Amino acid sequence: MIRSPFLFLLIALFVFSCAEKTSTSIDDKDIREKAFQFREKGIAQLQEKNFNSAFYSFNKSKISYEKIKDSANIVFNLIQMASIQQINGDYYGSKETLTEALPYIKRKDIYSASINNFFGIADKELSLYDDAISYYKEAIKDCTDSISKQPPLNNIAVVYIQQKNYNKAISILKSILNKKDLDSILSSKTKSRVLDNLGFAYFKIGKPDKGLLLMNESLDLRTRTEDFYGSIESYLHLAEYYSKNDVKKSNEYAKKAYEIATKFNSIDERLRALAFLVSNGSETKYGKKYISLNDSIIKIRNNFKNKFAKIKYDSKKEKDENQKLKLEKAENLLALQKAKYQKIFFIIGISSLFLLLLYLRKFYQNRNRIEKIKTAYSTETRIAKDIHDGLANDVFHAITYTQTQPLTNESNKENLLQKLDDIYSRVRGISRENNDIDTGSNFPNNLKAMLSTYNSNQTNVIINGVEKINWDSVDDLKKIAIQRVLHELMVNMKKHSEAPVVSIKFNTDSNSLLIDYSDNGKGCEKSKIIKNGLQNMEIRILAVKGTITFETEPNKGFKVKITMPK
Amino acid sequence: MFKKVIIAEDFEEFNLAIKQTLNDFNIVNFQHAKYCDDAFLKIRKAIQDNEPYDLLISDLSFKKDHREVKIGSGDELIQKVRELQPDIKIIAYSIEDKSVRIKSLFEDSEINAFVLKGRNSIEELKKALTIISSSDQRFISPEVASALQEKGNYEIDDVDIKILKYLSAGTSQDEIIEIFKSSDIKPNSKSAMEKRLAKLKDFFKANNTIHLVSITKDMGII
Repeated sequence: MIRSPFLFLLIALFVFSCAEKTSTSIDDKDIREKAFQFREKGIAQLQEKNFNSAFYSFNKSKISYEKIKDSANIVFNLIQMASIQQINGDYYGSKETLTEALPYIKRKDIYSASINNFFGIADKELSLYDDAISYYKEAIKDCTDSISKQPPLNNIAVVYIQQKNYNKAISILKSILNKKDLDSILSSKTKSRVLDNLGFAYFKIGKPDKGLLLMNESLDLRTRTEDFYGSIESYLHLAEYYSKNDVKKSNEYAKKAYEIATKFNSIDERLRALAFLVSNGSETKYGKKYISLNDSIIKIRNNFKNKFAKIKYDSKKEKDENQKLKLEKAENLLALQKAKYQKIFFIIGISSLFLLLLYLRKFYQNRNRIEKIKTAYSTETRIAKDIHDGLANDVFHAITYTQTQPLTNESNKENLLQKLDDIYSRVRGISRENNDIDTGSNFPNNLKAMLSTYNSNQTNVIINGVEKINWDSVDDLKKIAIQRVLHELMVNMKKHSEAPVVSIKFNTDSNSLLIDYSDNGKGCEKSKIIKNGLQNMEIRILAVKGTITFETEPNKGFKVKITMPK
Repeated sequence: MFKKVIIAEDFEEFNLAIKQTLNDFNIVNFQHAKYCDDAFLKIRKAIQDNEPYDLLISDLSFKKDHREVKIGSGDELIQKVRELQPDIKIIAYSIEDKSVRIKSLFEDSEINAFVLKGRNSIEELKKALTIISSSDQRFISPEVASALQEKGNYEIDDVDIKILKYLSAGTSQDEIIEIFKSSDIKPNSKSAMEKRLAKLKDFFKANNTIHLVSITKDMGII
């Protein structure tokens, strides 16, 4: 069944050339090892004519070699596969396989020659003779030495014979035989083939004697060298030769061809032999045999075709799936990594935010604490100043008065009492200014009462809108600030303004409290505003995030605007 | 005059003033407590012994010291004693001059007198004793008497401010009444309007309406 002995030569060459190529990558060692094992298994299976398994192994080997991009071995495996397909009559399939090998062919050498040769065989079998010849010619071009040029040349001649272009065939075959060193270079196999084909061609162009001579010479050679497979062709040619004039001899040769072909399990040749027997009008059993053999071979070959296609398709699918899985795995890995990074970023973000918050809290607590200490300190200094300015002087005055004036005198005693009473009321004042503030539900009433205590014969304190503010929702700190600041304003008013009318107006808008203090007293130069008291008020109001502005001019009264968020 | 008196007071000096006053009234049966808790226990014991006190003189603020107390202030003591013995007469004797607190003492705890510690406290205490021992009249030191009077609070409302604004815009009194009537602002009678105007003039110490407008404008009220 094997179409060309050229194949075996190539196999030997490939094995040799593959062995030369050693792996350099440690990572690929396993793959290479596996691919090599498949390849060897394929070769062994092929020798046992276990075509399905061989095809499968070569395909596996090829796929493995593809992973490590070993193009020489890929081409080798593909050629093996193509040859298996050709052996089993799947010519279209083999052309497909060969086409697959083309991208790996980088230069004209034994590989490309082999591929072209196989293309030629396939096209010949598919009766595309012109294409077959051009492929063979390509193969010849790719061959560098004359030995390897001979098989394709012979193949071309065979094609010409098929085309009934006998003269061309004869000239080629003759040119092969005319090589002087033919005997030494060409194997007897090749020589007998050439002789046989030449003889057949002579017979066909009407030179039967010359043809018979050559054909017999070839048969002799084949018998002598025990090339039994080759002899089938010789017997078939001879059967054809005699079919015209000596049916008996023709049948004899055909039967011989049939026997040998049966031994070699070479179905095509068996069929051809049977065809002679049938056309020579011999026994009907040959006709029946022909029909049954022909049917079964068609079935088997179709079966093979399907199997090869399936093996290739399955492995391709497997490969695709593997790739898909790999891709998915890579994607998953990427996603996992991404998630991991996101998680890390998230954790870092949260913890740094947390630290920042902690820092800010600490910072503001500190600032608040400092603010509180400042307020407390300024309150202390204010009280100290009050005591010093107000009390100490008066007490000292009372002491000196007591030391210098005889207290037996009733008016002196009365005077001293008066002074002491003054001191007493001042102390009460200081205590009142600094005592605690009820921030509960009594706050508005207490506030009004506090303001109203500054009503006197000289001064009317007019209050407006205390109830407009929903005091329950106002911070205690703000209530304290309001009470203290207004108190301080009232103290200042009483001390300095001599105002006949004072008005305190409370109001509220969507998000702030507004308090307007206004008196029509003496007022003062704005630059001369008593620094300490006003600063205290400012600190208090700023501490609750409010604002306070003072406005005054001599004889224009004194106005204060306070706002603070609700 | 009172027969049996208890004094809750942590200040020896002021105690002297009270003792002198009681002596002047020939009251000899009086006891003294430095802590509110002690005073309360004594009063309760006296009731149990069927010899109840007929007068409590109590300060309002007590100094805090090492001793832990249940009753921390005079206000509380007075409240409790009033509940325990409704017919006892009570004089609050303090430097407190906050009208709200004083008012609350009279209204909630029904004290009979409030004497402000000060230059004239001995005289006032005498007056208080005389009045409450012989009648159900109340006594309050003149300096803080305003606490019990509603007057003294000069409050104005938004209607007042509206009136002032209309006046400053040249609107006459009658026109303001009309506007109030049409926009359903009350009060809107002529007499109410005049009453309000008189009040405002009084508050702002204005001689006439023009003066009133000028003062309120200057003060930024309108």
